Amino acid sequence: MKKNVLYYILIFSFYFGNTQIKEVNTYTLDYVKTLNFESGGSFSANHTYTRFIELNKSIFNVVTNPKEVKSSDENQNSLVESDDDDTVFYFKPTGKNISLVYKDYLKQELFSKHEVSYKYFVVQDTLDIFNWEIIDTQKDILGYSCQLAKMNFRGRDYEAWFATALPTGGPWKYDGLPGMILEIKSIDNFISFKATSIKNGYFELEKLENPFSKEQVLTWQEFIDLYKIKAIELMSYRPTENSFGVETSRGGIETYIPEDDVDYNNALEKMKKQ
Amino acid sequence: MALTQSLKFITLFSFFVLNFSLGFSQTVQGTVLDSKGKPLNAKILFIASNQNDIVSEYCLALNGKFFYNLKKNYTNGLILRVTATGYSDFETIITSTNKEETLVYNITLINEKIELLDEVIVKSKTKPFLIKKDTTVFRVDTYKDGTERKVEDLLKNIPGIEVNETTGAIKYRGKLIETVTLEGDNLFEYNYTIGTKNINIDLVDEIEAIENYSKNKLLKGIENSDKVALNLKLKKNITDLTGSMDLGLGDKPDAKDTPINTSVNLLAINSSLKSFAIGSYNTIGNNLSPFNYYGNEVSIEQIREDNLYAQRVIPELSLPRVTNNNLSNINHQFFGNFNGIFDLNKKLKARVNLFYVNDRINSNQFSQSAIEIVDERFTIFDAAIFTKSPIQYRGDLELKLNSSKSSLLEYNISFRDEIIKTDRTISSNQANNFSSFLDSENVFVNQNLEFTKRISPEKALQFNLNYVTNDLGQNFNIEPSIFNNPEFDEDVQNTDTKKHNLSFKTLLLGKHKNSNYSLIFGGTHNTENFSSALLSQNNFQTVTNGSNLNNLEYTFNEIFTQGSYTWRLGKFIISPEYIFRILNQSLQLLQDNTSLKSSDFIFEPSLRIIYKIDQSSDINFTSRIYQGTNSIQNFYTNGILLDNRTLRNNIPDLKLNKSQNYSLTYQKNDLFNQLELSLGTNYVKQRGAFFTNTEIDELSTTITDFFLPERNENLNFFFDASKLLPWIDTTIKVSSNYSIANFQNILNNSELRNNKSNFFINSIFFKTAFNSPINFQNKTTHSYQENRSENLFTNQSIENEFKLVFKPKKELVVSFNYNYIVPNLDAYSNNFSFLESTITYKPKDKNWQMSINGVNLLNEKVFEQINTTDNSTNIQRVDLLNRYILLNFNYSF
Repeated sequence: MKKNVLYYILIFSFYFGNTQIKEVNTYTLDYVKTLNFESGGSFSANHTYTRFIELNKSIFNVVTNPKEVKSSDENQNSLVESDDDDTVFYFKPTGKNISLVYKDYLKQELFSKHEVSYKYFVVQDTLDIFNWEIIDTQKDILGYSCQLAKMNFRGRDYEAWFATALPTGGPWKYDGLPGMILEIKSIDNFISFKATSIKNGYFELEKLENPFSKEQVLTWQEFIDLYKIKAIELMSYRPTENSFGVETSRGGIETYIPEDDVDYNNALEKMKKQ
Repeated sequence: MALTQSLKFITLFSFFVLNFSLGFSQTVQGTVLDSKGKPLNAKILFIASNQNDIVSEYCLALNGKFFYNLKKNYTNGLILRVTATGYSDFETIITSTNKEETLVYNITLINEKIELLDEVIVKSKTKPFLIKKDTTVFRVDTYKDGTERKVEDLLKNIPGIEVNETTGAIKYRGKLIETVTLEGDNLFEYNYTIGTKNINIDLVDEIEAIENYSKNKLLKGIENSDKVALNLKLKKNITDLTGSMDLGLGDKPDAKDTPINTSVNLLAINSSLKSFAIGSYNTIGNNLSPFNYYGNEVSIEQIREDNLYAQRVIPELSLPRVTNNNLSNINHQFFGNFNGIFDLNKKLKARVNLFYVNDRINSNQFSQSAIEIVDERFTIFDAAIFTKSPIQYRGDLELKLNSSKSSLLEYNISFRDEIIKTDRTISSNQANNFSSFLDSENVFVNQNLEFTKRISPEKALQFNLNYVTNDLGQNFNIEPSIFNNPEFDEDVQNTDTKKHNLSFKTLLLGKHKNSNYSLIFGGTHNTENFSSALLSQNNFQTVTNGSNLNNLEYTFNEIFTQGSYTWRLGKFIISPEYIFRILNQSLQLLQDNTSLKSSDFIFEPSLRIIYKIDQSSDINFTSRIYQGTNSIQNFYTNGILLDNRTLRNNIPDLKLNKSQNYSLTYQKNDLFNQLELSLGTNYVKQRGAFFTNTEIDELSTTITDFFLPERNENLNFFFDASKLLPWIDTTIKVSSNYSIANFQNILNNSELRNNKSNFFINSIFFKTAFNSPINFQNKTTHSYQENRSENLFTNQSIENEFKLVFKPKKELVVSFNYNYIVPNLDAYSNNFSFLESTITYKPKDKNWQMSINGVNLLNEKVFEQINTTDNSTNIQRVDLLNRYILLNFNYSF
């Protein structure tokens, strides 16, 4: 217990310098993220979502080992994978705040980092991007009565279970339900988050700064436009005698380039023809 | 309690009925404030009265305001619940929702000192996780351009991957790949080129590049591995037996023989077996085997096993590589191979690799050296017709016993028997024409036993025992006798080496937070018996020629300990390493009853620092100090005849070569700006080495190697940059490499001479990605070499490679390659042009394809290479495969 308190104090002192001290009601949820790849193989990671009630803000991040949180700049995006031993491995990006999501519920803003050809940009989104439909089905998760909700979000269909007894919030970008999302998964089984613990307490802090640098902030539209430009450019890149252009993914969890994007499809067709 | 609760729940609200209508659905709007009038963010829940606590609709109040149109009509009434964390709930009943009026609620929530949740309410079980290594996955279809047939062809297309044209060795981002696995199984070991050169790309779904790869699963995450492995993932529908057949037959318009290129391969996969087999025969210079008998490039296996091999004293024939079609390799190669992994039971796996190679390489070589020593000038030449016939039989067996979840026992044995017969007819500037025959037989047996135990998630222990025996005999006959003795018909040079090498190692590997460490203790016992005799003989008698008999025994015993640590400190990775060795060497020259002994205590430290500047670039510094021993090559005292003019011997010495090696490199791989940049420098200083004392005249060469505590130096700079110019859809790449070497030698009784050699090579390359059926690429390479001693020897050469690909439709690909080479810019008229063309037709959704290949269409008969040394300019000329046309048919099943 003491360890846990210490760990939160560490996080807080890490995220924000303290000026005038004030008590903030805080909900902290641990989630396990699982990604299943088409090619087979999956990996999981531990994440933590922290909701600061009076500040109307939240922080979502990866935690590999709570003890190492303080020096987590390098580690914060380590991918972890389940015990079964097959030889499927995946690309591990590293860098500052790569998988952090910051939400400001008052300004209805959402900040995260996205990669364009291995270069990271801070992307600013709004919190009204979710078109939830709630369903009359309930189940208990971690002792909370949760209700089902569905939406389509940037290329995938989702099912989420939210607890109205808890404040509004959710893992990664997912949000906008009248309660906390304790479970969410995409219908195609690609991604899921499951809450494994919920903690609540008062912590002393004055304010929470946006951890992202405000230089070079792109809006979602600017980001997907840039992503497409670079994806098309990379198809012409031939750094060695035998190389034949690089095809970039059309997106990750979210779709950046829709299947019916004419510019991109033409460029792809052209590359395959060469 | 109930009273205080209800008191707490006193809420103020007002309720207005407005007179205007908002259409069909009920509109609800209002404000949510706290008791001080501060606007709140709150959840507005609508719960149908007959549905216990199930939210039917909701909206969120932002900054104190909400506005919502109900989607449904609630005839039984509706509960409106407003909640905000830290405030008491507000609840009211909306009796009917089909009103035309907007319902307006101005709500004040009372601040509530809520009870905190228990610190941990519920904690569900989470599985333990392992951190996985870095991997990049390449989807095969993405990198296909339609001309690829084998895995290797596709690998060449993937950015960051380079394939060595001669050895087939693969590099990923500059790192040599040691392992290529098939569905995660290491079927080919170091001879993975069998797989990459022979497996059809159509069977492969994905290729994964796995960084920080550990061969031994038990060492995963503990071992500080900077190795890269590739994993071939097969298409999902591939089970049981698949295979392909290639049939290539053609015509040489200017010669009688028929070019043939044919192969069959089979891939069988089921739950207990994974196997791949090949049978191939060709006469067009192809080498599908992992063994190289025409050139002198070494394979990954040879690099790994180098100190286990007995040294070949008499050199074998080697040829320069000419164009990608390897035109100098006039071969008749049969290669048969089987690789299989069998699951014998749940814990025991066996891997079997069987090889058979049989080749006949014909060559016609002319070599000429223009020698200048101070004021003396002369030219020597040899014209030789060769036939080199290598045969190799080889079998490898590996048994893997997973005795428990945390322990692994492995046993490996490799048996190799190689016979190389080389016939030579030589005409030269010497008095006679010679005919010679070299017969080499090499029997190599390597056994390895390894036990790995994972003691804890952070530690592993490993024991390794290795035993090698190697018998290498060479028999060289030359007639007439080169010693110009009319009494004898021929000279015979025999050599025989027997090597035994026994070594053991105990390793402790571990990790601690962000660091890895390893501690090794081990020892080696190595003995080599070497004997040789140079004889002259006729039908009646055999006599030893002078005192050219060698009989020596060399032993090498060492005990060592080695430790390394790798720290990851923010952007730095720092790895210091040390080796302490106690080394005893003894050399007994039995023929003259003398012996040498030495005993050394050696400390060899090294340091590696990597600084990761950002996601795409890093700086890498390494420094290493090491001390090397010498080999049999430098221990025999009496002359050994190497060819028709060279006799070589040594003044043996057991002293060590002390080397220092420093390198500094910068690398950037920025896909966002489509820029790749690498530059760096490398410096090697060696103190103490064998230097050559050469006596050379028109007729013969005598080399004596002797040890001196003098130094040799080597300095190298390189620069590579590639960038896409998007406005012309073209990638440009420039490369430069400059190296300087300082070394010493003695020539024809001179003093110790200081020599300096410079080598400078520059190239510029471009490749287009036009939106048209036609695309180009071109590479121009200029090289300059200079050797400076008393005299100056220089040579400049230029090579241009142009490729055009025409793809009128998906099924049809036409390509042209044109190479233009000027071996010596001062003799510009002496140049070579090679044209090759391929037309491939691959019908859609069929399991066959056809191609026509025209090679060496301009019919160059010979190729010439020029290089310089500190005393000569050398020309080497080789015969080439005549122009040919080959019709290929491929069928997959």
